[in-house]
Amino acid sequence: MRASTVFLISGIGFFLLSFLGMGLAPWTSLKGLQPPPGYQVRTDLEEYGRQIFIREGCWHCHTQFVRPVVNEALYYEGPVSTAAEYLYEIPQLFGTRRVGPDLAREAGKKTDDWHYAHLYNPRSVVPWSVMPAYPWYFEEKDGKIVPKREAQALVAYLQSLGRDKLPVMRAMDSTYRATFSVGPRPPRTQDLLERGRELFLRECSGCHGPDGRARSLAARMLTPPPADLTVIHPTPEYVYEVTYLGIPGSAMPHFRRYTNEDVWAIAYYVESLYREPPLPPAAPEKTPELLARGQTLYGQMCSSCHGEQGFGDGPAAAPLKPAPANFRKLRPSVVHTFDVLTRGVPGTAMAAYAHLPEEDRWALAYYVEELSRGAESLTASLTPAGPEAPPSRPAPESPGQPEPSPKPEAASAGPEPTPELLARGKSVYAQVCLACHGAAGDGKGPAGAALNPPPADFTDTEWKHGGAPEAIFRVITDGVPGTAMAPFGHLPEEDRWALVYYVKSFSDPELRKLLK
Amino acid sequence: MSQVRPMVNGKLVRWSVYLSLLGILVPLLMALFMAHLLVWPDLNFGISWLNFGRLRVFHTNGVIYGWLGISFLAILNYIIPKLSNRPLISEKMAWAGLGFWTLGVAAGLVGILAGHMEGIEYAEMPWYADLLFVIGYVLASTTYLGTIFASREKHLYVSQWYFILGLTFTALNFIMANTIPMYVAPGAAGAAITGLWIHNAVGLFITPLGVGIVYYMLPVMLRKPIYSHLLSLVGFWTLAFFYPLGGAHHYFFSPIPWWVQILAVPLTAVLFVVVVTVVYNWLMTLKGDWHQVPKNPALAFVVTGIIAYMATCTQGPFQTLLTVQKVIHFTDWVVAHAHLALLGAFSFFNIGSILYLWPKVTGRKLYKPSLAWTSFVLLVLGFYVFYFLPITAAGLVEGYIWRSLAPFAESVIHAKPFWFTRVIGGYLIYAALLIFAYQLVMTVRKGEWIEEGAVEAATKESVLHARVFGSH
Repeated sequence: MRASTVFLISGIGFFLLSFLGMGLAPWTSLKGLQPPPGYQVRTDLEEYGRQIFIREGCWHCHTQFVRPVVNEALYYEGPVSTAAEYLYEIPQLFGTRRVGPDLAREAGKKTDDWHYAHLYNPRSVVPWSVMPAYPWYFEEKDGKIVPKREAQALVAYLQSLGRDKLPVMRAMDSTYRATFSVGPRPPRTQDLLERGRELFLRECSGCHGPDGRARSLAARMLTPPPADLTVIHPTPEYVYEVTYLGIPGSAMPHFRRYTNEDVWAIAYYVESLYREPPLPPAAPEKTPELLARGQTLYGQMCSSCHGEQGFGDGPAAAPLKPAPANFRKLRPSVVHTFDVLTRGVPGTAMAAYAHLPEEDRWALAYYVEELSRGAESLTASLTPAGPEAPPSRPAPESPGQPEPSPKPEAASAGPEPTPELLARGKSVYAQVCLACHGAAGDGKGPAGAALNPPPADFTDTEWKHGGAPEAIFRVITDGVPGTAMAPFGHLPEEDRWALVYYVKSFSDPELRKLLK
Repeated sequence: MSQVRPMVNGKLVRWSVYLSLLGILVPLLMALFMAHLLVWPDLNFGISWLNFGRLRVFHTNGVIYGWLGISFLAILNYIIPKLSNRPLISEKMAWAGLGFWTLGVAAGLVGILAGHMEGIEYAEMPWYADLLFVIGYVLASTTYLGTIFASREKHLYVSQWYFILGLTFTALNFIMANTIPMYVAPGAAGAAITGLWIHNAVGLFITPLGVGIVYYMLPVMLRKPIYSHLLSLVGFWTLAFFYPLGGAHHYFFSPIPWWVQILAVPLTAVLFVVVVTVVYNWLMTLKGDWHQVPKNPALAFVVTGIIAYMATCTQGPFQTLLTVQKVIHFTDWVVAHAHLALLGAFSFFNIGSILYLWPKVTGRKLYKPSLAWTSFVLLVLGFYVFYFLPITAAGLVEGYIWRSLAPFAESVIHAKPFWFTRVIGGYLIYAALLIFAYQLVMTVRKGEWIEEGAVEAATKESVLHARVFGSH
């Protein structure tokens, strides 16, 4: 045989040796593998997202496996990857370089709106990021930046990565939360504040803005929007807690990997951002009477979520994500509370209370300010009729409080439904109920998604508390203890009747006709 | 004699060199821009085809297939006839091979920018480009293999061993990569096969062609035979046997079956034997002739490439140790390592070789040898000082930061100064290549004619070849 033939055969032979020995043999040894429990095959949208992930070369900077080394399972908050997870991955996207973090455990780590803001421009939420922006997968509609189908697909794909490991990841997370405690507090030195500023600019300034005012690109894209840190005066402990734990149900991620000292630095710096906003001239003066009014209203409308004492621990609070504000820790300014009452917080269970008279809203805002200062301050400022001791909940009728307008039994006979009344009901519904119960009355409002028990669905004929107009009226007036349904006794009686008929109109064709 | 078809088709070599220049100048322009993007990520102003993800792949595929690939064709179009002592079996086929190859790469690169990228590393060119490329590859390799087979020389020189091995192996490897892990083999099995492909694209395409070229260039430049035939044999067969088996080391600590990964460690470590034998053989050939290096820029490029080859191939077995892997895997260290091989070693080999053969295929002396030295100095400075060292350091910094479980932000923020340094290095490297290209173009236009008659030159070459390669 000629020498050149030998080399030709060796070229083919060594290829076959390599392919059979180190390619086909591993493949064979993986035969019979079953997908892990809870594994879901990707939907068409997720699959399309994967195609985009491939064609944009995302996989060149983001790997997709957690290694069994250097505590990566801890770092990426999910278990080490196994071959079974990749049974349907063709081509595999393990990746060979991590300019950005690994994505194998990305499911549920961030909210969809965070991903959209991040894809539109990564710097909008992660200021230090060097990731490319993908603005061509978004379009402007009515001044809003809306994801196109490609962006939706990409986010759906990202949220599918490692979702079969969600139970494990959630368990790891709850263990972390359960054992969390605020670490030793270093003295508040100038150096530490400087470090805090540096870290704030690095990690927080994307959403909250470099000045803390949250007038950022991300603020336009995130629901609920990032907090304006100049109008609230959170305690450093609270900032510390939120920085380490994030705010589930919002785009606020956690920054668990920073050291105790760094997180304190951030906490001190955020505290220093507070600039008490001046009261507008229209605001009434803070008087004991006004505060007493605020207390009454608070007891009726706010305490079921925010808790009697403002700790954010009301009976309806537990299922809410994000959790209702803890006023003792968040310490909102009066003006901010007033604004929130007027506008609500989109994407949360906090509805707008613009229907309340302005004076009532100011009363609540002053009362919340007193609450946030603690019980002593509260007793002192409520001199004429302060509560003796924190009453046990639910206690809408503490001694000395003015009566809420109508007593339930006074409502036994309501007005007849008229087209005007239904139209009125529709407009009140839009202000008060829509956030949770949804425009279609199906209980799928934007703020309702996280609630447990879920908001009532009015489109069926099932009424948990009775379908008679009187029974519905009672629920609106008194609320449902143990749920997010707050009492709305402060609404004028006519409005509540209007709501009764409007709510019934979702399932009652007769009433529906009246509406038209 | 003058009526006989000349052994080397100068026009073919010149055109392949020109195309290879495009193959490096365009992808490196993109690479230079990309280096800026890691420091100023919004510099592409939201233009999709100037996005980092696409440019990165444009760059890698561009330099592998457009620059190294086409410059290999250029050099093989010269060396194969020389070593076979006959013209190419079909110059038409060589032209067609060059044409399809170039079309394939161009279509692939445009496709990548247009968002048609596929999901296997270094095989990202879309399928329509793959088809054109494979046609070009098969035409070109058939020409070369056919010429070697048609040669009436008694002995096959070591360069030719490498060419035959590399060309046959890679034809199969490329087809495998674009079919099996792309459409058939899932997950960990796909990764094992992808690992083989990535590894062998370097190890059995670029390495054998580059090493084969050095085995030719070093003796002809030094005008003496290679030091040891035995070492050539050992280096060749250890490469052929062991190199194709270590592919899994690209996915250490991945879900690929553990036995495959464990086996990949010694199978990679043993490659140290390859580098020691090959480089020892070259350095011993150089022994006594080091004084020629500062006088001959072409030789300086090849020798500097040899040193980079030694360094990068020593890194390899070291990197395969699992303890080292824990730190450096996924980091910029690997990026620096890859550039040491493809830029530091093989691009230097090819630039040196082109500088050597350019006068022979143009009939003119180099326009200004001092320009070759300028590009040499800029390239060495730009690559080693501003690229290789800082990016290697960045890799260690990233690896240790991740290991410390610090926030991910730290690894990016601390890498940025090194990435900025790389931007400067990029400008130096690009300047060096522009000067190199300028030199070649000006040689053709204004270079001094070589006085010697064609017949005399051919006779001299033939005598030299007989002395150096032991035949003819």
